[in-house]
Amino acid sequence: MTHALEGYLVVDLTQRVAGPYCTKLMALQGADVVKIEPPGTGDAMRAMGPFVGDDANPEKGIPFLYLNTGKKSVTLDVEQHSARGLVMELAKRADILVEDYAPGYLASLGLDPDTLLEANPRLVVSSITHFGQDGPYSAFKGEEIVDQAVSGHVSITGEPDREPIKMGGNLAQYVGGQAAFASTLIALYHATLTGEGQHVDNSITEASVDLLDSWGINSLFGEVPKRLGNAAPEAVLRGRGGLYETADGYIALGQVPGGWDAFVDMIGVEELRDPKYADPRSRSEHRDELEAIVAPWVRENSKLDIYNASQRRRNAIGYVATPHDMLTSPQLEHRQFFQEIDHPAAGSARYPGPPYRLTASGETLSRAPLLGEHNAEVFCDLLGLERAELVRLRQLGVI
Amino acid sequence: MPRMPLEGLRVLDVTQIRAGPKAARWLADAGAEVIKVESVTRPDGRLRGASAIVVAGMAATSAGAKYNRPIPESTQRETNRTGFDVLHRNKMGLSVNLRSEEGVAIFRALAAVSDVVLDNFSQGVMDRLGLGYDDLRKVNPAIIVLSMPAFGSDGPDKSYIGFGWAQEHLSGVTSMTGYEGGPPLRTGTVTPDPLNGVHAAGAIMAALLHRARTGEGQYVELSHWESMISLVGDWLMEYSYNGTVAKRLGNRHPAWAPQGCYPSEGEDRWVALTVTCDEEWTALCGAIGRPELADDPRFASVLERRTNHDALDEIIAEWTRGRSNVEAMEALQRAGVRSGAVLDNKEAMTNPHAEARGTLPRITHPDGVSHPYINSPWQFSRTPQGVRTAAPILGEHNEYLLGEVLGIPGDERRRLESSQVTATFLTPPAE
Repeated sequence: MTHALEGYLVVDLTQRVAGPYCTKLMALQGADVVKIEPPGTGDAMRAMGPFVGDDANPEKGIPFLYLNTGKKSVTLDVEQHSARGLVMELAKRADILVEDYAPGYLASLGLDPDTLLEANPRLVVSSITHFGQDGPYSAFKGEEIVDQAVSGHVSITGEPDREPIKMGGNLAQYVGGQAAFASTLIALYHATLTGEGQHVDNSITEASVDLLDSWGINSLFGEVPKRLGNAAPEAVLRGRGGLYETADGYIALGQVPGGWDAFVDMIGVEELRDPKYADPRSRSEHRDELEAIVAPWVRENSKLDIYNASQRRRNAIGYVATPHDMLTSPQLEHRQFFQEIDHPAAGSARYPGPPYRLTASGETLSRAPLLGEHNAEVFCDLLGLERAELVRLRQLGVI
Repeated sequence: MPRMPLEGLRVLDVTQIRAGPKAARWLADAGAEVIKVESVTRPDGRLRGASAIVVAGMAATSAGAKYNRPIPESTQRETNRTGFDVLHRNKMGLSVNLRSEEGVAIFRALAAVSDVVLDNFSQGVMDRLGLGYDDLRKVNPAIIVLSMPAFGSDGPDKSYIGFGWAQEHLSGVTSMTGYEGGPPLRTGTVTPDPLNGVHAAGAIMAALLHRARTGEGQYVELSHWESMISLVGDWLMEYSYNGTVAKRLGNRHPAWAPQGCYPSEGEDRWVALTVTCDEEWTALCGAIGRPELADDPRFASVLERRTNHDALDEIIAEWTRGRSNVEAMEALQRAGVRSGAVLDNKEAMTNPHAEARGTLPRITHPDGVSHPYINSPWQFSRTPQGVRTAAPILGEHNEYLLGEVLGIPGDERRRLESSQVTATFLTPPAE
């Protein structure tokens, strides 16, 4: 089996979340990803917890371990002159170079896209920044909460009478990485067919704005969404529904193609057959009475029981899943979604598998690299440096 | 004009709602000929108001009546069409009844001259129509087919229904979102659909690159649930390794401080900031006119700043309350502090930076209506791409696709239309 991106060499000059997720997706499809990390500290993500066993060791940072599966790690202090030559040598052999420095930083090192493309006309140079390469905010520094704020997501998340809050996790960074993966492969496809490489300017905040879809575009016509917390304007079983507390967590009772009767059958409360609850509009009008009946029933049952009973009646509700729920899901188990990966420092654990499956070319998932683990392989075997030169570069702090 | 990167590729987009249309749209933006295949009787999310669809010969049926209803408010008309348009710009429109034998034959014939087919029906629907991967590879061995069943095409939950809003809960996004000590919270929009759409676009590109080198097509499967879990992997794996789960922290960060949304001038106006290291803390103290705080033992390191976060929030809020959120953001950024005004959805696309980046190109539709579209979040230095043409009206390109591409003669095309195998958009009714 030949993986989709097998044989493509990717030079990865990214840190934290967005860039590493982009190159993780490349590694999953078999690309040879060489991650260049600052000597000593490595990717800033190595210092971010939580850590395996709460041991603040740069090889045990859980987010780093997840975001850098399948890559090789070399160390290079790109600010040193001799390091730039090595980056250039790698770029000459590469198909893709992904970087997430502030706009202009690579140029200050003499490694701007034009110079790289002159050395390797087929190269795709993909830049991932919070605000893009130009425009009045391009020099602004971003982070997850900042990116979510300027892209509209924070304003619509949270309770109306409290401060707005960010969506949990790092969704803006992830979508920045996902989008950069797609755009970089589009440019690589062009380069594969025509031999013409180019520079791709990816903006994390623009990828995040794009998620707004109709919420975004309709706001231009006066429908600016507000934050609504969990108290959605829709009644039970309409639209996205609200969150209700079960015996062991939360479920969302939203849109239900199986229909109201199927829902009432499941709950088994005859009172709900009253015509005043018969259609969505009347259920909205009698929302409080309705919730007074439904909520106590929900509270007595477990979320998975409600979820499964509901799905069997073709009513698609959703439960608020915890990591435990996912790691013990019979469905995900059947699909062999989680994969056990061993790591020399972190030990063994189950990792989420690929986000999609190319059934003929397949995916490949392996552990994150130790800092500088592949220095000899990349600098000596690939670039042809003598071992003695490697020792000298280490002494100089270049690697 | 230089070539667009995906020029020459043909994609059959038989997806609905949001995730699938979004995936196909990325390919359309980059120059692929994407054909939005729509049902004759159940067009995808088209409540087009004054541009209501009149299906030939069907106006009296329930479907005709449903989509022909007038929606008088002009803003409502605009917003209804924009919701569809934003996902379907740069695409062609084909309407065909896939429940008819002739409709299925048309789809197969197009698949034979296409590169990619995308569907997001429930698991098994394409197979039952005779349009599954095994059917399509017979007419086109190099075809790439991407399906997006909610939970995958096998396993005990394979026929469960999964809407985007439910995936937000199933993937843990709501579990991570919420105020400290409070319940899980829904996010503002339904993000799983577009997030999975971006994943799908990337998956198709990987499959296309594979085919470019090996000639081999393939079936690609994206389970919405698995795709979403991939985007919370760092959170989930804490449990995998340590058996613990991070608590909901609202706007706060587990390792940095301060971080939050602070009130600014005006009603319900806020500015977000985060301090990720001591240098940024010193910069923040200077920016808010309190340089002495940098030496205050209550805030000496991130540990103290986390312990005294509430007191610190009050100090920061004293400064932010006195200015607009955009002024606050600009002052903080000038000082080197990571900060962003909490912009509403309109402002997120109409601020000076978004304007300079060309976020909202405007397109005039054939019926004269003009509105902005949200541009692609990337730019290529050498190949053009982005927003070019309006979303198609129902069946807008039937003549081109059936006539020019498939070579079906004109009288036969008219027979297909009158027998409701295909349908076209007719003159919009007067308001």
